[in-house]
Amino acid sequence: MTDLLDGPVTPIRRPETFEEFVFATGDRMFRTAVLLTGDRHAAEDLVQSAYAQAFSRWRLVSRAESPTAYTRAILTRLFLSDRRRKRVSEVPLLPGAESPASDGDPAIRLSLLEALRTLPSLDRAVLVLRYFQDLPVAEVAIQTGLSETACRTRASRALARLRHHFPDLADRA
Amino acid sequence: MLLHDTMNDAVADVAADLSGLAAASRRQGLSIRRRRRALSTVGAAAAATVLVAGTWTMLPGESEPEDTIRTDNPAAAVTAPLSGDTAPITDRGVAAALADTIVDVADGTVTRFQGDVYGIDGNLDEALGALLFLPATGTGPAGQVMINLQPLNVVGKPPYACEAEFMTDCAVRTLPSGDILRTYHDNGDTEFGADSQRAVAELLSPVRRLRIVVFALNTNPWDKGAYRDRAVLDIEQLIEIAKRPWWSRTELPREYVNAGSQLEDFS
Repeated sequence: MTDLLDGPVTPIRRPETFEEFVFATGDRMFRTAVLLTGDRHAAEDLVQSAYAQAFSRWRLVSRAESPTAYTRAILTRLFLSDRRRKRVSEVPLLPGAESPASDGDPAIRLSLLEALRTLPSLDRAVLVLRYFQDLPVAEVAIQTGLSETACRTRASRALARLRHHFPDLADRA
Repeated sequence: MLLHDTMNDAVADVAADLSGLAAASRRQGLSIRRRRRALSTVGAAAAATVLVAGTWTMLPGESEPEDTIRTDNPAAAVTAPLSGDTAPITDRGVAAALADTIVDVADGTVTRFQGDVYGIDGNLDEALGALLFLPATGTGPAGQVMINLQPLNVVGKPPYACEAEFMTDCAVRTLPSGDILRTYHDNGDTEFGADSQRAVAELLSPVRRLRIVVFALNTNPWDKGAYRDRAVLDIEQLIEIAKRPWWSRTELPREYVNAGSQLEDFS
């Protein structure tokens, strides 16, 4: 199914049902959760909780300008609040077997997730929203509760840390 | 090497079970809705505190109660599970915990909270909590729901069977955990009247040395003479309440103890 609802583009058509919304947005939301948590099981819990919150307010969410942005904001805040409380060791993500194989380098995939886990949770959230979700800085600021200046500072600092592992890493082409 | 491309590569082979995700999210979302509706007739302060006690709410002080959050601000709608931290059990805490588990398994509203904790020589020994529950559907008064947390030795040694005459429709089974579950109905109790009905779920835990008895009535003890056609919770719902792993005679999840301290309508 074409994802008509993701990203900052005005949706062409709204989801008619909650299930349609999950099918349209679930994979990308789950991948965002994996990047944030670095752990598949934690990501499953996180994305389910976010969709559950969205469903509990479905009449409101389905009429929002972007139901996807709304749900993604819930996911981000759940991640940030959960990271403040939990002190559990993270389980390394195993390569998934449920979807067609990727052409990407396995060594790069594992290393990036490990590298992201070394970052503070707020820095990680800023990077994932900015560079995986391609959100503008203003939107990242809203979803993380930071100022735009703080977002830029955190992104810059986090990128510098990632470049210890990936010297050729660039934020823009 | 662009970070955007590198991130995409890192999760390219990750996919969600979308059917399972939609179904599980729907179920969990319905539970959240039930909790909101149950609190709609409780005083504002009690609503905030029971929300704090809920399985999917923030710890006190970390966020505004969900119901006070503006609905046009999705970023502020945050909930979280119990932390796992515990605190010494209190009478109000038992009431708050019971309320939260009820609204998690059934649609309706909770009022008139009660509780007690008592022991011998300063040692916490037994605890109980009670409240009135009005189901969202059906007719009739609210019915009392009560939980007792007792030492296992009050029921003697195993085997635990269906022996007493008052236990109708009685069933006993052993759970994978080793706990024993005994359920039954007890109708026409002399205290509550010939039309009274009581559904009971009793969990006996040799490992925890704990007896948990949860029952629901079809009547309000303070308004005798009015009855519903059945107890306000059924056996399966009572089992779900009794099986919560954190019940104990001496401690509760800290969130419930904190919420109970602010509970209104407690006597």
